[in-house]
Amino acid sequence: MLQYYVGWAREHNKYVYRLNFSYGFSDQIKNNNARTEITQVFLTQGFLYPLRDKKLFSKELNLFIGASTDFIYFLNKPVVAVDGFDFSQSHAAMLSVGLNADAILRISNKFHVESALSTSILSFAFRSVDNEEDNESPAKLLTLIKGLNSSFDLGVRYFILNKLSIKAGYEFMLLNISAWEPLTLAGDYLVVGIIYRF
Amino acid sequence: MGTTNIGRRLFGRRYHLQILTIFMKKLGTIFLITIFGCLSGCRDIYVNPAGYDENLADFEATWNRINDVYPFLKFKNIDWDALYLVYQKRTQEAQGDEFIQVLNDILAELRDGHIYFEMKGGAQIYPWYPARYFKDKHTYDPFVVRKYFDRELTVTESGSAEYGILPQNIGYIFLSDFHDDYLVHEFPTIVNSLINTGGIIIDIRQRRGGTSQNVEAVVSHFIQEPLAWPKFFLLDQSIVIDPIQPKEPFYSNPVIVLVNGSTFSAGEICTEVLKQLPAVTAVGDTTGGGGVASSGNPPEARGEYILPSGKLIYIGTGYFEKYDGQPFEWVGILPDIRIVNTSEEIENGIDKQLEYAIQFITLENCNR
Repeated sequence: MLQYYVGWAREHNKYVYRLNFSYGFSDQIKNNNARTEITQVFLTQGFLYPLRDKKLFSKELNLFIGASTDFIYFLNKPVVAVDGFDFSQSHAAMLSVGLNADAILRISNKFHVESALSTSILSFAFRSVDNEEDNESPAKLLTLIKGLNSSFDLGVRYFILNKLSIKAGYEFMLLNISAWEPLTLAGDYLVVGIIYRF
Repeated sequence: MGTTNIGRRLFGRRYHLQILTIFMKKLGTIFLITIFGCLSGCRDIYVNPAGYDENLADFEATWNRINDVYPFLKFKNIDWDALYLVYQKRTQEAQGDEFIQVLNDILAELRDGHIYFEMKGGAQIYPWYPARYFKDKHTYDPFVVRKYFDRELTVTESGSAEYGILPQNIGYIFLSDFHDDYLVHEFPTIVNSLINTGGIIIDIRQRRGGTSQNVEAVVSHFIQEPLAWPKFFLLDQSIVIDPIQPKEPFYSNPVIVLVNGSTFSAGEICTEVLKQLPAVTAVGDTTGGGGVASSGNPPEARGEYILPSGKLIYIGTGYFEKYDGQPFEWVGILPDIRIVNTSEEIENGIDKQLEYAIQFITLENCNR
Protein backbone atom coordinates (compact mmCIF):
# COMPACT_ATOMS: atom_id res chain seq x y z
CA MET A 1 0.00 0.00 0.00
CA LEU A 2 1.29 3.43 -0.93
CA GLN A 3 1.37 5.92 1.91
CA TYR A 4 1.79 9.60 0.97
CA TYR A 5 3.56 11.76 3.48
CA VAL A 6 4.16 15.49 3.86
CA GLY A 7 5.95 17.07 6.79
CA TRP A 8 7.09 20.44 8.02
CA ALA A 9 9.55 21.31 10.77
CA ARG A 10 10.70 24.58 12.24
CA GLU A 11 13.86 24.97 14.29
CA HIS A 12 13.69 27.33 17.22
CA ASN A 13 16.52 28.22 19.59
CA LYS A 14 15.82 25.51 22.08
CA TYR A 15 13.51 23.10 20.29
CA VAL A 16 12.21 21.86 16.96
CA TYR A 17 8.49 21.93 16.15
CA ARG A 18 7.18 19.58 13.53
CA LEU A 19 3.93 18.79 11.80
CA ASN A 20 3.41 15.65 9.67
CA PHE A 21 0.52 14.32 7.63
CA SER A 22 0.23 11.04 5.78
CA TYR A 23 -2.50 9.30 3.83
CA GLY A 24 -2.73 5.79 2.47
CA PHE A 25 -5.37 3.86 0.53
CA SER A 26 -5.48 0.47 -1.12
CA ASP A 27 -8.24 -1.74 -2.45
CA GLN A 28 -5.91 -4.67 -3.11
CA ILE A 29 -5.35 -5.94 0.41
CA LYS A 30 -6.15 -9.65 0.10
CA ASN A 31 -6.19 -12.76 2.22
CA ASN A 32 -8.01 -16.10 1.80
CA ASN A 33 -9.84 -14.91 -1.34
CA ALA A 34 -11.22 -11.93 0.57
CA ARG A 35 -10.34 -8.43 -0.51
CA THR A 36 -10.68 -5.25 1.46
CA GLU A 37 -10.23 -1.51 1.04
CA ILE A 38 -8.04 0.14 3.62
CA THR A 39 -7.85 3.88 4.27
CA GLN A 40 -5.48 5.29 6.88
CA VAL A 41 -4.76 8.89 7.82
CA PHE A 42 -2.10 10.09 10.26
CA LEU A 43 -1.58 13.60 11.64
CA THR A 44 1.24 14.31 14.07
CA GLN A 45 2.49 17.46 15.68
CA GLY A 46 5.11 17.76 18.35
CA PHE A 47 8.27 19.17 19.82
CA LEU A 48 11.80 17.86 20.01
CA TYR A 49 14.37 19.08 22.50
CA PRO A 50 18.06 18.43 21.94
CA LEU A 51 20.03 16.40 24.43
CA ARG A 52 23.77 16.68 24.90
CA ASP A 53 25.64 15.66 21.74
CA LYS A 54 27.54 12.40 21.85
CA LYS A 55 29.98 10.48 19.72
CA LEU A 56 29.29 7.20 17.96
CA PHE A 57 31.96 5.53 15.85
CA SER A 58 33.82 8.83 16.29
CA LYS A 59 31.02 10.63 14.46
CA GLU A 60 28.77 13.30 15.92
CA LEU A 61 25.50 11.92 17.25
CA ASN A 62 22.62 14.33 17.90
CA LEU A 63 19.88 13.09 20.16
CA PHE A 64 16.45 14.62 20.61
CA ILE A 65 13.56 13.82 22.86
CA GLY A 66 10.11 15.30 22.94
CA ALA A 67 6.36 14.98 23.15
CA SER A 68 3.75 14.88 20.44
CA THR A 69 0.06 14.57 19.79
CA ASP A 70 -1.01 12.14 17.10
CA PHE A 71 -4.30 11.54 15.36
CA ILE A 72 -5.00 8.35 13.45
CA TYR A 73 -8.06 7.37 11.44
CA PHE A 74 -8.42 3.86 10.05
CA LEU A 75 -11.19 2.45 7.83
CA ASN A 76 -11.46 -1.21 6.79
CA LYS A 77 -14.12 -1.93 4.15
CA PRO A 78 -14.21 -5.59 3.03
CA VAL A 79 -15.48 -6.20 -0.48
CA VAL A 80 -18.51 -8.36 0.34
CA ALA A 81 -22.19 -8.14 -0.55
CA VAL A 82 -24.16 -6.63 2.35
CA ASP A 83 -27.64 -5.24 2.56
CA GLY A 84 -28.70 -1.84 3.90
CA PHE A 85 -29.12 -3.12 7.45
CA ASP A 86 -25.69 -4.58 7.89
CA PHE A 87 -22.27 -3.03 7.62
CA SER A 88 -19.14 -4.82 6.62
CA GLN A 89 -16.84 -1.92 7.34
CA SER A 90 -15.19 -1.06 10.60
CA HIS A 91 -13.36 2.09 11.57
CA ALA A 92 -11.26 3.39 14.39
CA ALA A 93 -9.74 6.71 15.37
CA MET A 94 -7.30 7.60 18.08
CA LEU A 95 -6.01 10.91 19.47
CA SER A 96 -2.87 10.29 21.52
CA VAL A 97 -0.22 12.07 23.50
CA GLY A 98 3.11 10.37 23.43
CA LEU A 99 6.85 10.49 23.53
CA ASN A 100 9.32 10.48 20.69
CA ALA A 101 13.04 10.29 20.33
CA ASP A 102 15.16 11.13 17.31
CA ALA A 103 18.79 10.45 16.56
CA ILE A 104 20.97 11.86 13.79
CA LEU A 105 24.39 10.37 13.13
CA ARG A 106 26.40 12.79 10.99
CA ILE A 107 28.61 10.55 8.90
CA SER A 108 29.70 13.57 6.88
CA ASN A 109 28.37 16.99 5.94
CA LYS A 110 26.40 15.43 3.12
CA PHE A 111 25.47 12.08 4.58
CA HIS A 112 23.41 11.41 7.72
CA VAL A 113 21.89 8.30 9.24
CA GLU A 114 18.61 9.17 10.95
CA SER A 115 16.36 7.22 13.23
CA ALA A 116 13.16 7.95 15.13
CA LEU A 117 11.09 6.13 17.71
CA SER A 118 7.68 7.19 18.97
CA THR A 119 5.03 5.72 21.18
CA SER A 120 1.71 6.86 22.56
CA ILE A 121 1.20 7.05 26.31
CA LEU A 122 -2.42 8.06 26.70
CA SER A 123 -5.11 8.04 24.03
CA PHE A 124 -8.72 8.94 23.45
CA ALA A 125 -10.00 6.32 21.03
CA PHE A 126 -13.12 5.74 18.98
CA ARG A 127 -14.21 2.41 17.52
CA SER A 128 -17.22 1.35 15.49
CA VAL A 129 -19.47 -0.75 17.72
CA ASP A 130 -22.26 -3.15 16.72
CA ASN A 131 -25.18 -1.88 18.81
CA GLU A 132 -26.96 -5.20 18.39
CA GLU A 133 -24.08 -7.04 20.01
CA ASP A 134 -23.12 -4.93 22.97
CA ASN A 135 -23.65 -1.72 24.88
CA GLU A 136 -20.01 -0.67 24.94
CA SER A 137 -19.30 3.00 24.56
CA PRO A 138 -17.73 3.80 21.19
CA ALA A 139 -15.31 6.22 22.88
CA LYS A 140 -12.79 5.36 25.61
CA LEU A 141 -9.70 6.71 27.29
CA LEU A 142 -6.88 4.22 26.88
CA THR A 143 -3.41 3.70 28.25
CA LEU A 144 -0.76 2.24 25.99
CA ILE A 145 -1.69 -1.27 27.11
CA LYS A 146 -5.12 -1.03 25.47
CA GLY A 147 -4.32 1.57 22.83
CA LEU A 148 -0.85 1.67 21.33
CA ASN A 149 0.36 3.75 18.44
CA SER A 150 4.07 3.39 17.86
CA SER A 151 6.54 3.62 15.06
CA PHE A 152 10.21 3.17 14.34
CA ASP A 153 12.15 4.34 11.36
CA LEU A 154 15.73 4.14 10.19
CA GLY A 155 17.06 5.81 7.08
CA VAL A 156 19.86 7.58 5.33
CA ARG A 157 19.75 11.16 4.17
CA TYR A 158 21.90 12.65 1.47
CA PHE A 159 22.31 16.39 0.99
CA ILE A 160 22.29 17.22 -2.70
CA LEU A 161 22.56 20.89 -1.87
CA ASN A 162 22.76 22.75 1.40
CA LYS A 163 18.99 23.10 1.48
CA LEU A 164 17.92 20.07 -0.52
CA SER A 165 18.28 16.49 0.57
CA ILE A 166 16.81 13.11 -0.24
CA LYS A 167 16.03 10.34 2.20
CA ALA A 168 15.50 6.62 1.91
CA GLY A 169 14.68 4.36 4.77
CA TYR A 170 12.55 1.77 6.46
CA GLU A 171 9.60 2.44 8.75
CA PHE A 172 7.65 0.05 10.92
CA MET A 173 4.39 1.18 12.46
CA LEU A 174 2.09 -0.57 14.87
CA LEU A 175 -1.41 0.35 15.90
CA ASN A 176 -3.12 -1.85 18.45
CA ILE A 177 -6.49 -1.12 20.00
CA SER A 178 -7.73 -3.90 22.25
CA ALA A 179 -10.36 -2.12 24.35
CA TRP A 180 -13.06 -3.39 21.99
CA GLU A 181 -12.94 -6.12 19.34
CA PRO A 182 -9.17 -6.17 18.79
CA LEU A 183 -7.72 -4.13 15.97
CA THR A 184 -4.08 -4.63 15.12
CA LEU A 185 -2.58 -2.75 12.24
CA ALA A 186 1.09 -3.28 11.49
CA GLY A 187 2.98 -2.26 8.45
CA ASP A 188 6.47 -1.89 7.23
CA TYR A 189 7.26 0.62 4.58
CA LEU A 190 10.07 1.59 2.31
CA VAL A 191 10.27 5.35 2.66
CA VAL A 192 11.56 7.67 -0.01
CA GLY A 193 11.45 11.42 0.46
CA ILE A 194 12.67 14.83 -0.58
CA ILE A 195 13.44 17.42 2.09
CA TYR A 196 13.79 21.09 1.36
CA ARG A 197 15.03 23.51 4.00
CA PHE A 198 13.75 27.08 3.81
CA MET B 1 -24.40 36.07 61.11
CA GLY B 2 -22.20 38.94 59.86
CA THR B 3 -19.80 40.91 61.98
CA THR B 4 -20.81 40.88 65.60
CA ASN B 5 -19.95 42.76 68.75
CA ILE B 6 -18.69 39.51 70.20
CA GLY B 7 -16.36 39.11 67.28
CA ARG B 8 -15.02 42.66 67.61
CA ARG B 9 -14.59 42.34 71.38
CA LEU B 10 -13.11 38.85 71.58
CA PHE B 11 -11.16 38.60 68.39
CA GLY B 12 -10.34 42.15 67.22
CA ARG B 13 -10.34 43.55 63.69
CA ARG B 14 -8.40 40.71 62.00
CA TYR B 15 -10.99 38.17 63.01
CA HIS B 16 -13.85 40.46 61.89
CA LEU B 17 -12.52 40.19 58.35
CA GLN B 18 -12.21 36.40 58.65
CA ILE B 19 -15.81 36.09 59.84
CA LEU B 20 -17.00 38.37 57.01
CA THR B 21 -15.04 36.29 54.47
CA ILE B 22 -16.53 33.05 55.80
CA PHE B 23 -20.00 34.61 55.65
CA MET B 24 -19.51 35.77 52.04
CA LYS B 25 -18.33 32.30 51.01
CA LYS B 26 -21.30 30.72 52.72
CA LEU B 27 -23.56 33.27 51.04
CA GLY B 28 -22.21 32.11 47.69
CA THR B 29 -22.95 28.49 48.58
CA ILE B 30 -26.44 29.38 49.81
CA PHE B 31 -27.01 31.29 46.55
CA LEU B 32 -25.96 28.28 44.44
CA ILE B 33 -28.16 25.90 46.43
CA THR B 34 -31.11 28.26 45.97
CA ILE B 35 -30.59 28.49 42.21
CA PHE B 36 -30.27 24.71 41.90
CA GLY B 37 -33.43 24.22 43.88
CA CYS B 38 -35.32 26.66 41.67
CA LEU B 39 -34.11 24.97 38.49
CA SER B 40 -35.11 21.54 39.80
CA GLY B 41 -38.55 22.83 40.51
CA CYS B 42 -38.77 24.30 37.02
CA ARG B 43 -38.14 20.96 35.27
CA ASP B 44 -41.47 21.24 33.50
CA ILE B 45 -40.17 24.28 31.58
CA TYR B 46 -37.76 22.12 29.64
CA VAL B 47 -39.20 18.59 29.99
CA ASN B 48 -42.62 17.80 28.54
CA PRO B 49 -44.94 17.13 31.45
CA ALA B 50 -47.04 14.02 32.02
CA GLY B 51 -50.19 14.06 29.93
CA TYR B 52 -48.50 16.02 27.16
CA ASP B 53 -51.06 16.38 24.34
CA GLU B 54 -48.71 15.37 21.53
CA ASN B 55 -47.81 12.10 23.29
CA LEU B 56 -51.47 11.26 23.76
CA ALA B 57 -52.20 12.06 20.11
CA ASP B 58 -49.33 9.80 19.01
CA PHE B 59 -50.58 6.99 21.22
CA GLU B 60 -54.14 7.25 19.89
CA ALA B 61 -52.91 7.31 16.28
CA THR B 62 -50.64 4.27 16.85
CA TRP B 63 -53.31 2.22 18.60
CA ASN B 64 -55.90 3.03 15.94
CA ARG B 65 -53.57 2.36 13.02
CA ILE B 66 -52.68 -1.08 14.32
CA ASN B 67 -56.31 -1.81 15.12
CA ASP B 68 -57.38 -0.82 11.59
CA VAL B 69 -54.75 -2.54 9.44
CA TYR B 70 -52.56 -5.08 11.24
CA PRO B 71 -53.55 -8.53 9.92
CA PHE B 72 -52.29 -10.80 12.72
CA LEU B 73 -53.95 -9.63 15.95
CA LYS B 74 -56.21 -12.69 16.02
CA PHE B 75 -53.54 -15.10 14.74
CA LYS B 76 -51.17 -13.95 17.50
CA ASN B 77 -53.92 -13.93 20.17
CA ILE B 78 -53.30 -10.29 21.06
CA ASP B 79 -56.10 -8.61 23.05
CA TRP B 80 -55.57 -5.21 21.48
CA ASP B 81 -58.56 -3.61 23.24
CA ALA B 82 -57.17 -4.57 26.65
CA LEU B 83 -53.80 -3.06 25.81
CA TYR B 84 -55.42 0.32 25.08
CA LEU B 85 -55.98 1.16 28.74
CA VAL B 86 -52.57 -0.12 29.78
CA TYR B 87 -50.70 2.05 27.31
CA GLN B 88 -53.02 5.02 27.60
CA LYS B 89 -52.14 5.17 31.31
CA ARG B 90 -48.43 4.81 30.60
CA THR B 91 -48.64 7.58 27.99
CA GLN B 92 -50.40 9.91 30.44
CA GLU B 93 -47.69 9.31 33.03
CA ALA B 94 -44.76 9.64 30.62
CA GLN B 95 -42.69 12.80 30.87
CA GLY B 96 -40.38 14.05 28.16
CA ASP B 97 -38.59 11.25 26.30
CA GLU B 98 -40.21 8.56 28.45
CA PHE B 99 -42.90 8.35 25.75
CA ILE B 100 -40.36 6.90 23.32
CA GLN B 101 -40.08 3.84 25.57
CA VAL B 102 -43.88 3.62 25.72
CA LEU B 103 -44.07 3.74 21.91
CA ASN B 104 -41.35 1.09 21.68
CA ASP B 105 -43.19 -1.18 24.11
CA ILE B 106 -46.61 -0.89 22.49
CA LEU B 107 -45.11 -1.78 19.09
CA ALA B 108 -43.18 -4.66 20.66
CA GLU B 109 -46.51 -6.19 21.77
CA LEU B 110 -47.04 -7.28 18.14
CA ARG B 111 -43.83 -9.34 18.18
CA ASP B 112 -43.29 -8.59 14.52
CA GLY B 113 -39.81 -8.25 13.02
CA HIS B 114 -41.09 -5.93 10.29
CA ILE B 115 -42.36 -3.27 12.65
CA TYR B 116 -40.21 -0.25 13.35
CA PHE B 117 -40.48 3.38 14.35
CA GLU B 118 -38.41 6.33 13.40
CA MET B 119 -37.87 9.68 15.10
CA LYS B 120 -37.67 12.75 12.89
CA GLY B 121 -34.26 12.55 11.21
CA GLY B 122 -33.40 9.37 13.11
CA ALA B 123 -32.68 5.77 12.25
CA GLN B 124 -35.21 2.92 12.22
CA ILE B 125 -35.70 1.28 15.61
CA TYR B 126 -36.99 -2.28 15.68
CA PRO B 127 -38.65 -3.02 19.04
CA TRP B 128 -38.69 -6.79 18.44
CA TYR B 129 -36.88 -9.35 16.33
CA PRO B 130 -37.40 -13.13 16.11
CA ALA B 131 -35.32 -15.36 18.39
CA ARG B 132 -34.27 -17.49 15.40
CA TYR B 133 -32.52 -14.45 13.91
CA PHE B 134 -30.36 -14.03 17.00
CA LYS B 135 -29.72 -17.79 17.11
CA ASP B 136 -28.35 -17.75 13.57
CA LYS B 137 -26.77 -14.30 13.45
CA HIS B 138 -23.29 -15.80 13.68
CA THR B 139 -23.85 -19.07 11.83
CA TYR B 140 -22.98 -17.56 8.47
CA ASP B 141 -19.78 -15.73 7.65
CA PRO B 142 -18.84 -14.46 4.16
CA PHE B 143 -15.14 -14.96 4.94
CA VAL B 144 -15.67 -18.61 5.89
CA VAL B 145 -17.60 -19.09 2.63
CA ARG B 146 -14.61 -17.70 0.73
CA LYS B 147 -12.37 -20.41 2.15
CA TYR B 148 -14.21 -22.94 -0.03
CA PHE B 149 -13.23 -21.08 -3.18
CA ASP B 150 -9.92 -20.89 -4.96
CA ARG B 151 -10.53 -17.35 -6.17
CA GLU B 152 -12.33 -14.14 -5.20
CA LEU B 153 -16.10 -13.85 -5.51
CA THR B 154 -17.51 -11.20 -7.82
CA VAL B 155 -19.58 -8.56 -6.07
CA THR B 156 -22.23 -6.94 -8.29
CA GLU B 157 -22.15 -3.22 -8.89
CA SER B 158 -25.03 -2.58 -6.49
CA GLY B 159 -23.37 -4.69 -3.80
CA SER B 160 -26.60 -6.63 -3.43
CA ALA B 161 -25.20 -9.98 -4.58
CA GLU B 162 -21.93 -11.85 -4.95
CA TYR B 163 -21.22 -14.96 -6.97
CA GLY B 164 -18.54 -17.34 -8.10
CA ILE B 165 -17.76 -20.91 -9.11
CA LEU B 166 -16.54 -23.47 -6.59
CA PRO B 167 -13.65 -25.81 -7.49
CA GLN B 168 -16.24 -28.60 -7.97
CA ASN B 169 -17.76 -26.54 -10.86
CA ILE B 170 -20.75 -25.60 -8.71
CA GLY B 171 -22.09 -22.05 -8.96
CA TYR B 172 -22.63 -20.00 -5.83
CA ILE B 173 -24.80 -16.91 -5.47
CA PHE B 174 -25.23 -14.96 -2.22
CA LEU B 175 -28.25 -12.65 -2.26
CA SER B 176 -27.84 -9.88 0.28
CA ASP B 177 -30.49 -7.47 -0.90
CA PHE B 178 -33.98 -7.80 -2.40
CA HIS B 179 -34.55 -4.04 -2.27
CA ASP B 180 -35.06 -1.63 -5.17
CA ASP B 181 -34.73 -3.48 -8.47
CA TYR B 182 -31.10 -4.52 -8.35
CA LEU B 183 -31.72 -8.19 -9.00
CA VAL B 184 -33.99 -7.40 -11.95
CA HIS B 185 -30.94 -5.97 -13.71
CA GLU B 186 -28.13 -8.04 -12.24
CA PHE B 187 -29.48 -11.57 -11.79
CA PRO B 188 -29.59 -12.49 -15.55
CA THR B 189 -25.87 -11.66 -15.79
CA ILE B 190 -25.14 -13.81 -12.74
CA VAL B 191 -27.03 -16.80 -14.17
CA ASN B 192 -25.29 -16.36 -17.52
CA SER B 193 -21.90 -16.57 -15.90
CA LEU B 194 -22.87 -19.77 -14.04
CA ILE B 195 -24.76 -21.42 -16.91
CA ASN B 196 -22.16 -24.14 -17.49
CA THR B 197 -21.91 -25.27 -13.88
CA GLY B 198 -23.19 -28.61 -12.59
CA GLY B 199 -25.47 -26.94 -10.05
CA ILE B 200 -26.09 -23.66 -8.25
CA ILE B 201 -26.18 -22.86 -4.54
CA ILE B 202 -28.37 -19.83 -3.81
CA ASP B 203 -27.43 -18.53 -0.36
CA ILE B 204 -30.14 -16.46 1.33
CA ARG B 205 -28.81 -16.63 4.87
CA GLN B 206 -28.74 -13.22 6.65
CA ARG B 207 -31.44 -11.60 4.55
CA ARG B 208 -34.03 -9.10 5.77
CA GLY B 209 -36.54 -8.40 3.08
CA GLY B 210 -37.34 -6.47 -0.07
CA THR B 211 -39.73 -6.44 -2.99
CA SER B 212 -41.57 -9.18 -4.85
CA GLN B 213 -40.17 -8.01 -8.19
CA ASN B 214 -36.70 -9.06 -7.06
CA VAL B 215 -38.06 -12.43 -5.93
CA GLU B 216 -39.56 -12.83 -9.39
CA ALA B 217 -36.25 -11.80 -10.97
CA VAL B 218 -34.58 -14.77 -9.22
CA VAL B 219 -37.27 -17.43 -9.64
CA SER B 220 -37.95 -16.67 -13.32
CA HIS B 221 -34.63 -18.22 -14.40
CA PHE B 222 -35.46 -21.62 -12.90
CA ILE B 223 -38.88 -22.20 -14.52
CA GLN B 224 -40.01 -22.98 -18.04
CA GLU B 225 -43.73 -22.35 -17.46
CA PRO B 226 -45.57 -19.61 -15.56
CA LEU B 227 -45.62 -20.25 -11.82
CA ALA B 228 -48.36 -18.96 -9.52
CA TRP B 229 -47.45 -16.99 -6.41
CA PRO B 230 -48.64 -18.18 -3.02
CA LYS B 231 -51.76 -16.34 -1.82
CA PHE B 232 -51.34 -12.69 -0.90
CA PHE B 233 -53.69 -10.62 1.26
CA LEU B 234 -53.81 -6.86 1.62
CA LEU B 235 -56.16 -5.07 4.06
CA ASP B 236 -57.96 -8.41 4.51
CA GLN B 237 -58.62 -8.75 0.77
CA SER B 238 -57.15 -11.52 -1.35
CA ILE B 239 -55.05 -9.93 -4.08
CA VAL B 240 -54.37 -11.73 -7.33
CA ILE B 241 -50.77 -11.32 -8.52
CA ASP B 242 -49.78 -12.18 -12.08
CA PRO B 243 -47.88 -15.50 -12.19
CA ILE B 244 -44.09 -15.48 -12.41
CA GLN B 245 -43.03 -15.74 -16.04
CA PRO B 246 -40.00 -17.74 -17.19
CA LYS B 247 -37.05 -15.71 -18.43
CA GLU B 248 -33.85 -16.47 -20.26
CA PRO B 249 -31.37 -17.81 -19.49
CA PHE B 250 -33.07 -20.89 -18.06
CA TYR B 251 -30.99 -22.91 -15.61
CA SER B 252 -31.86 -26.62 -15.52
CA ASN B 253 -29.30 -28.23 -13.22
CA PRO B 254 -29.82 -28.96 -9.49
CA VAL B 255 -30.27 -25.95 -7.20
CA ILE B 256 -29.79 -25.76 -3.44
CA VAL B 257 -31.24 -22.84 -1.48
CA LEU B 258 -29.38 -22.21 1.79
CA VAL B 259 -31.49 -20.68 4.56
CA ASN B 260 -31.34 -20.11 8.30
CA GLY B 261 -33.13 -18.24 11.08
CA SER B 262 -31.91 -14.92 9.74
CA THR B 263 -33.60 -15.47 6.40
CA PHE B 264 -36.56 -13.15 6.57
CA SER B 265 -39.46 -11.67 4.61
CA ALA B 266 -38.67 -11.53 0.84
CA GLY B 267 -35.92 -14.11 1.41
CA GLU B 268 -38.55 -16.47 2.83
CA ILE B 269 -41.00 -15.87 -0.02
CA CYS B 270 -38.18 -16.58 -2.47
CA THR B 271 -37.41 -19.82 -0.61
CA GLU B 272 -41.05 -20.93 -0.49
CA VAL B 273 -41.51 -20.32 -4.22
CA LEU B 274 -38.23 -21.97 -5.24
CA LYS B 275 -38.99 -25.01 -3.05
CA GLN B 276 -41.93 -25.84 -5.34
CA LEU B 277 -39.58 -26.58 -8.21
CA PRO B 278 -38.48 -30.21 -8.62
CA ALA B 279 -34.82 -29.31 -9.16
CA VAL B 280 -34.63 -27.15 -6.03
CA THR B 281 -33.91 -28.32 -2.47
CA ALA B 282 -33.90 -26.05 0.58
CA VAL B 283 -31.12 -26.84 3.05
CA GLY B 284 -30.38 -25.28 6.41
CA ASP B 285 -32.55 -24.26 9.32
CA THR B 286 -36.07 -22.86 9.74
CA THR B 287 -36.34 -19.27 8.57
CA GLY B 288 -37.18 -16.27 10.76
CA GLY B 289 -40.95 -16.06 10.15
CA GLY B 290 -41.60 -12.62 8.68
CA GLY B 291 -44.77 -12.97 6.63
CA VAL B 292 -46.09 -9.42 6.92
CA ALA B 293 -46.11 -7.22 3.83
CA SER B 294 -47.43 -3.90 2.57
CA SER B 295 -47.98 -2.14 -0.73
CA GLY B 296 -48.01 1.38 -2.09
CA ASN B 297 -51.14 0.60 -4.05
CA PRO B 298 -53.72 1.49 -2.76
CA PRO B 299 -52.20 4.33 -0.67
CA GLU B 300 -53.96 3.20 2.50
CA ALA B 301 -52.08 -0.10 2.26
CA ARG B 302 -48.73 1.63 2.77
CA GLY B 303 -46.86 0.33 5.77
CA GLU B 304 -45.31 3.71 6.65
CA TYR B 305 -47.56 5.90 8.77
CA ILE B 306 -46.78 9.37 10.13
CA LEU B 307 -47.89 10.16 13.68
CA PRO B 308 -49.10 13.66 14.70
CA SER B 309 -45.67 14.49 16.21
CA GLY B 310 -43.89 13.63 12.96
CA LYS B 311 -42.54 10.29 14.15
CA LEU B 312 -43.00 7.41 11.68
CA ILE B 313 -44.20 3.90 12.38
CA TYR B 314 -44.21 0.94 10.00
CA ILE B 315 -47.17 -1.42 10.39
CA GLY B 316 -47.72 -4.19 7.82
CA THR B 317 -51.08 -4.17 6.11
CA GLY B 318 -50.98 -7.57 4.44
CA TYR B 319 -49.27 -10.94 4.32
CA PHE B 320 -48.19 -13.86 2.18
CA GLU B 321 -49.26 -17.40 2.90
CA LYS B 322 -47.32 -20.53 2.09
CA TYR B 323 -48.60 -22.71 -0.74
CA ASP B 324 -50.30 -24.95 1.88
CA GLY B 325 -52.53 -22.04 2.92
CA GLN B 326 -50.79 -21.33 6.25
CA PRO B 327 -49.17 -17.98 7.04
CA PHE B 328 -45.42 -18.17 7.60
CA GLU B 329 -45.44 -15.26 10.07
CA TRP B 330 -43.76 -16.60 13.25
CA VAL B 331 -43.71 -20.15 11.79
CA GLY B 332 -41.11 -19.60 9.07
CA ILE B 333 -40.28 -21.82 6.11
CA LEU B 334 -38.97 -25.27 6.94
CA PRO B 335 -36.03 -26.50 4.89
CA ASP B 336 -36.32 -29.80 3.00
CA ILE B 337 -33.12 -30.97 4.68
CA ARG B 338 -32.22 -29.62 8.11
CA ILE B 339 -28.53 -28.97 8.62
CA VAL B 340 -27.59 -26.74 11.52
CA ASN B 341 -24.51 -24.54 11.71
CA THR B 342 -23.15 -23.48 15.07
CA SER B 343 -21.29 -20.26 15.74
CA GLU B 344 -18.34 -22.29 17.12
CA GLU B 345 -17.98 -24.18 13.84
CA ILE B 346 -18.11 -20.92 11.90
CA GLU B 347 -15.41 -19.46 14.15
CA ASN B 348 -13.32 -22.51 13.28
CA GLY B 349 -13.88 -21.93 9.58
CA ILE B 350 -16.44 -24.69 8.97
CA ASP B 351 -19.72 -24.05 7.15
CA LYS B 352 -21.59 -27.37 7.37
CA GLN B 353 -24.59 -26.10 5.43
CA LEU B 354 -22.40 -25.07 2.49
CA GLU B 355 -20.43 -28.33 2.67
CA TYR B 356 -23.67 -30.34 2.56
CA ALA B 357 -24.91 -28.34 -0.43
CA ILE B 358 -21.66 -29.00 -2.32
CA GLN B 359 -21.83 -32.72 -1.48
CA PHE B 360 -25.52 -32.93 -2.46
CA ILE B 361 -25.04 -31.39 -5.91
CA THR B 362 -21.91 -33.47 -6.54
CA LEU B 363 -23.82 -36.69 -5.76
CA GLU B 364 -26.80 -35.59 -7.85
CA ASN B 365 -24.51 -35.07 -10.83
CA CYS B 366 -22.83 -38.46 -10.29
CA ASN B 367 -26.24 -40.18 -10.24
CA ARG B 368 -27.45 -38.57 -13.47
